[in-house]
Amino acid sequence: MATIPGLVLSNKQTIPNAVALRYKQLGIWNSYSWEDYYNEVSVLVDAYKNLSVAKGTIVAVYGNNVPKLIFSIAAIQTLGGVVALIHPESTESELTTILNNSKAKVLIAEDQQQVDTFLRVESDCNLDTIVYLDGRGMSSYENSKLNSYDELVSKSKNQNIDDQIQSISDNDTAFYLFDEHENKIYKVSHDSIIRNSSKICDLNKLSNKDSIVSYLPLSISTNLLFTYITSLVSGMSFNLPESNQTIEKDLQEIGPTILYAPSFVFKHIISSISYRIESASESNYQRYMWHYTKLMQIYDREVSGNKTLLDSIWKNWIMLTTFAPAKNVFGLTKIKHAFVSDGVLSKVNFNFFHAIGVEIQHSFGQAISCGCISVQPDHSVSSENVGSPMSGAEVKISNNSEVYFKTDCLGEDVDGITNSEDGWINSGYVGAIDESGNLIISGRTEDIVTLKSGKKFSPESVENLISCSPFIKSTVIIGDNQDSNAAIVVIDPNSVNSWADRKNIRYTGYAELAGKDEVRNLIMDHIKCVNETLDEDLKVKKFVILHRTLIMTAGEVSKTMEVMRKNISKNLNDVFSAIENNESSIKVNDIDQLSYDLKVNDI
Amino acid sequence: MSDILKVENVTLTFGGVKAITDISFNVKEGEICAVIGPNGAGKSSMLNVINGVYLPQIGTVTYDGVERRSINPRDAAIAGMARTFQNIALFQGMTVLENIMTGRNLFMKSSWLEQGLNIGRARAEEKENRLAVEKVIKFLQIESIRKTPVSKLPYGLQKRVELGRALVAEPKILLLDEPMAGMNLEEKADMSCFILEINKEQGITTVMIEHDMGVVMDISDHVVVLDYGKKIGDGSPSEVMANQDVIDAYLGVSH
Repeated sequence: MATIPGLVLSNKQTIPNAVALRYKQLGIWNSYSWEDYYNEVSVLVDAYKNLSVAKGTIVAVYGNNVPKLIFSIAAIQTLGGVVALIHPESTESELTTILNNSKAKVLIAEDQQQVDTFLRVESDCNLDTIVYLDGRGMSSYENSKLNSYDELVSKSKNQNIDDQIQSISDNDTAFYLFDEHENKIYKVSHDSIIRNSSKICDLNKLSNKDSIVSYLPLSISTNLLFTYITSLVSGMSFNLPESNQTIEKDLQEIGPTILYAPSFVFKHIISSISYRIESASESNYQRYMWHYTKLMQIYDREVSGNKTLLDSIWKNWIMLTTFAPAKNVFGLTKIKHAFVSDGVLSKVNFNFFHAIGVEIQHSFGQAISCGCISVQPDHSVSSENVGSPMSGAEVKISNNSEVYFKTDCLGEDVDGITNSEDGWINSGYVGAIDESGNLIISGRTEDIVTLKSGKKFSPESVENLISCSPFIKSTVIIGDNQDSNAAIVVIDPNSVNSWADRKNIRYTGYAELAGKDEVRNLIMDHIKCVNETLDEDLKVKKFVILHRTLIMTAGEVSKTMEVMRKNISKNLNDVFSAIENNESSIKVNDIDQLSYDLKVNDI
Repeated sequence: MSDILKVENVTLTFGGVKAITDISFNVKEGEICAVIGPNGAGKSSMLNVINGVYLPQIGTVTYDGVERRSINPRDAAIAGMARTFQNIALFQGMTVLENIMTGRNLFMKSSWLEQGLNIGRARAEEKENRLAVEKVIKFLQIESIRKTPVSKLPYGLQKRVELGRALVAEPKILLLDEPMAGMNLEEKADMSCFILEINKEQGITTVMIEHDMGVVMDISDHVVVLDYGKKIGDGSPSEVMANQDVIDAYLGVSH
């Protein structure tokens, strides 16, 4: 097998002129071939050596995906260092935890935002050096630990690093990955993560002709595996958008063949389509609605094998006139594989993507399993499962439905504590295995809700159903020790805005929009529909529309937009207690120090 | 530091109306100077005198060591003065990129024929100017609206585009006429950051008219207060805040 710098070297030798990395800067796409990639890395090896990065040094990499950070990863590892990845939106406490538990000595920060966050916690951390990539806004900073990346590079020179690359061992630690649900850091070796990625490449026949866009930070372990490592293993081009605001346009320009995203991104695409449709002209709106219904009917017949010739003609026509242009807007035209992690798409949304030819493949994995233990095969048509375990991985379900797994690509807790029993690791999730051996994940073990009647269930399953509406951004189910379920609903600002404009509803801001009777009825109708599909005791009997969205920096949603119940119940304590005490309205004193009146609606 | 701009005894009248009466003040190189005052105090007229749109009846403006009573606005631009306007003066049908590109007008030496046919000097110039524009687009973080027509943008972003157009002219002194008017808190915070960075990191002297006292007191080094066309205060933000005439002009006084 190989190491990460080793893959850079071998790609440089086998496909030196193929595009390795593309990055949009000042409005222009700049490409780096594998040869350029190697050269960039070799300069950085010299630069980081001067900062005394050596074998075993832990270097924290803190920022969005920019080429300087990407090249730094391989350079640090060439010197035998370990890369600890930190999300650019990490809270101060999270940053301190990661820096201290990983015992990092060097921090590479992207820009002023990251440097400022770090400087606020500087006294709690034991760091020697900080390197910043973009010095904008920091000219007056006087901290002797701060180093400019550009200055470092200008003092370094290109050199042959082949021998150094050969000297690192496959079993050396490559990354420290942070799992925010467990608040733990896992060590991952070059060998395990690369082998895990090879499995994905082999299963899906990925090659250097493919391309992928990586727009989420690599600190998300599934993203690291599916985009960064996979591009190194297969030799495909790794594309980086210009900024977080230009992702949609950049995706459209690149037209990648492989897409990886946590489920919230696909949900976002659905609500963006709906937002555009709601603000389209009446004739386009009617045509879209009609085509959508027709397409889904054809898809149902296609799956059941009853597709007629007429259906094929209709489908081609609908695709040509409506959905091909829509796919192009989101850069989905050439997609061969669309991998989804961190949650599954609801049946409606899953079927929609399949119907328009975007083959969604659910996957399941965490930091400890190097990002993936199971992935759905191509052309899978079931929205519920996350596929069967990949080769080398095994899954079993315990008596209380907890999912245990074994894999040959395993991470190791940085403190040496493992929650394994005879090699079986508790994933922290509950689920089941269906008759064809596919794993079904219902939710996190710690989230399980027990109703007064004693009925236990995973709130994610109900939340997913409610959140499949394009008008709803997220849902939190409250049911512990209750007679029935209640839901806190967060509306999607974009799609509800344009829906409200269409209906001539006047409002000044998000909080007022969320409090409108019309919006309440819109959400109520949707929940009623969902209730029809639920068992009697799971039906949602009450709901509250929240006056704001959930905030990532307050820890209310994870980096992949999953709801973090503990923090939400702390921040929205008033709402929780009002629902539990059967009150009909709530006065909330929120973290922005304003107070809001919310209504508890009965269904 | 030396004075980059000296306004001496300027009086401006429109027919019988005195817009500005005998005003003098200096702007030091590298500072942020705020001109404040109630509506109709003569602030915008003052800016128009500085860059030569209006010709004052009495008084002189010394800019960059050259003393004169008036200057042609184009010459002012060539001398390194760039400005934005109170009512946004962008080409509404053109994209953000095209609008900012117009700010590079002074740097284009090729003839209209070369530009029209994209030959000769025009090609190299286009590249060079586009790069300058792109750098400003990156600085102002408006990459995502590069190709959007200005008319489709919200007011706060249009103001930012206008600032961009002034910046690409590579000015020595930037005249901003109410850069934060009509903005919400967040937009004001962004705009303040941009103005501070332009000033502190690129060293461009800034003269700005602004109504938001919080912003003025926070970011400016020097404040000039006008009321009914007369100067009633001049000094650092804290000095001006303690000035009784200024307090009277803003809070009103019983006559």
